[in-house]
Amino acid sequence: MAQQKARWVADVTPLSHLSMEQKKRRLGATPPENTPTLAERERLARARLPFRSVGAAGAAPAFHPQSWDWRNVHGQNYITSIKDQSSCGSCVAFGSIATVEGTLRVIQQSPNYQVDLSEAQLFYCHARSQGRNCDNGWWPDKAMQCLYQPGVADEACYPYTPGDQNCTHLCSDWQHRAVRITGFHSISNLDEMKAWLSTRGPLSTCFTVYDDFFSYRSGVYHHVTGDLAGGHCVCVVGYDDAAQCWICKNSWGLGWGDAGFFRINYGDSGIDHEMFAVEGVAAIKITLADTAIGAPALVNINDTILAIAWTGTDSGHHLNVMGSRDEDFNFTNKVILHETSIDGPGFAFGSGRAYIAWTGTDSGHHLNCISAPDCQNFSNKVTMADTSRFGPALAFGNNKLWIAWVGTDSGWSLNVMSSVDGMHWQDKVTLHESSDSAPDLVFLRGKLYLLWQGTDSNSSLNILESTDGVHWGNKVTLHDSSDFHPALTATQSELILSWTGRDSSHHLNTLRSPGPTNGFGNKLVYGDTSVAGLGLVYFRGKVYIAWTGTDSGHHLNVMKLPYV
Amino acid sequence: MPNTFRFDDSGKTLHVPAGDEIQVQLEETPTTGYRWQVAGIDDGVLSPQGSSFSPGTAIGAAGMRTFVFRAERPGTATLNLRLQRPWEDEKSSLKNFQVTIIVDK
Repeated sequence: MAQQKARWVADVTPLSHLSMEQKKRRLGATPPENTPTLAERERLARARLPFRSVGAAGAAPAFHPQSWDWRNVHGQNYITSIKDQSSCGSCVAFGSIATVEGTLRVIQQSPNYQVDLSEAQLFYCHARSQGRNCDNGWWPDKAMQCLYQPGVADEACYPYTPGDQNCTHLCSDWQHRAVRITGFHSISNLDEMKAWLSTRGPLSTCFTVYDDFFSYRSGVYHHVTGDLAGGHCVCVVGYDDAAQCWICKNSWGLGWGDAGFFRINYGDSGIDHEMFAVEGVAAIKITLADTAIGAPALVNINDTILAIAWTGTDSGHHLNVMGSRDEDFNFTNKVILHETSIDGPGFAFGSGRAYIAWTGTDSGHHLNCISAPDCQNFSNKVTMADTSRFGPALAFGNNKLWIAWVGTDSGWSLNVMSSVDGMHWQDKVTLHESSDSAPDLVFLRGKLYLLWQGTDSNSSLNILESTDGVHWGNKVTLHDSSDFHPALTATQSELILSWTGRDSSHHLNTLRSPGPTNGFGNKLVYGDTSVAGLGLVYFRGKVYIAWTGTDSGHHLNVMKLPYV
Repeated sequence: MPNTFRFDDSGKTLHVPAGDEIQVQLEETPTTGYRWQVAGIDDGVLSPQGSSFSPGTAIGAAGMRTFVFRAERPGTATLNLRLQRPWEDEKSSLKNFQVTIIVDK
């Protein structure tokens, strides 16, 4: 190494190679589909070196800084932990997923965002379906295509173990847990690679591994000696113009290299012939930074804004509202109301106004309602004479606002009444039904439906229907039960029910029905859990579910369900 | 024709004439970090002549590692190869290949 003026330090390995005459057999890989061989990649990458606009001696162009490292951006690390592919040639899956995970953290602006995607699913399911396995490897563009469609679920859905598998370990609800990227593209311009790295996130790349790479310990690797070992994919997490190198995350465990990472010369071993950028991540599920008591509520505002309302975990339990104008959970414009609640709120939209109802923290636990034309400037607050044990439910239909709640009477009775403006309430009925938690209401095809958790010994779920909110009938008691507030929403043609199961972990469940008297579809049980109830809404052709997590902070979660 | 041994020959005792070359061909996926290494060879009877690797096609693919030894003089030699990562200790080895070579006159 010293004779070759190497810029890197080699490890002393437990086994010493026997002195052997190395045969130069640089056969090179011959990729299909008009992609260059490893040797061609290397030649093209090296050929660009003299023409680089950025060098140690020159100033960096204005559009990217001289160095970047996603492991340390103002002291924050956006790169997920070092993984180990072990004995399977699955590096393409590891390099690609590391790039998606890092990009997701950058998009979320959250270095601590919990994301760990399943390399096993990407390789043993998606790559396998293309005839790839641990022995014959894969291609990075194919991996990106699979991350785009159909996506990849979390690690717990299919934990990685080395060795070919036939995908049977994939969890049954992976489609509801999958993360998809919104697009990807390759970059072959070095300045564009640096510009992307310094603004958008990490990149994935492949390069030629030579024998000397295995003994890398620190410094800036460049090929000095040894035969070609093969093509390898990694994630590029930064660069350093002063040292003329890329900073990369490998998938050989923490024991290799510089705690699993390495630096490599610009242009060496084909490292920068082509890199792949993840344009965005279409989260199917998101864990928000906000925390809640009780169940959150979702509402669809003209198919333009997906809004969420919840009661905060602050000492006063203030009501909060925010909205997302897209389907990727980019919630913004959070409003913290002056109002406080003992439980999750009810939330509805109709006739151009968003309505929030809640049970106040006053000694009597009175019901309240407030509204806004824009989900921002709430006014017209009224405090009703009625009192409630839990949060109320709100629904809009037949040009009326409907509220349902569990009274503070000794029978824990369910009550319903209506209003045309959210301020003046009338037609109150007290049902001969009782509930142990907040009910939910929804309108479908001119009928009002009420869902609640019964006070029977099984805590059975029940549903009633009404055409006028006064006369209720067609009661159906489900075989399913819950200890918490269930949720109800309607697509264009059917009801969607959701609840937290009475299993030991309280997993989320959903069920669809064209109408309770017409039966129910198959129940889906999700991997997520809640002990605080949940909210549902139909938005832009998809059903969204929100819940308060069972994590110690009680963070809010939102997930897109597969129903259409 | 050289005497060529493969992984399935592990554990066998093999006879070769003095002066012949012995090839050992073992599948290897170097980009996992796991590589075949000569862990033991009886000096004098066999001498290593080198190794070469023929890589696979796709990224991360396995290839074929070929070790070449020369049967130098009559005697018995144990040839031991180990598939392991160079930066990890031998306990982490995935596979072992061992043959007993009897070099005949």
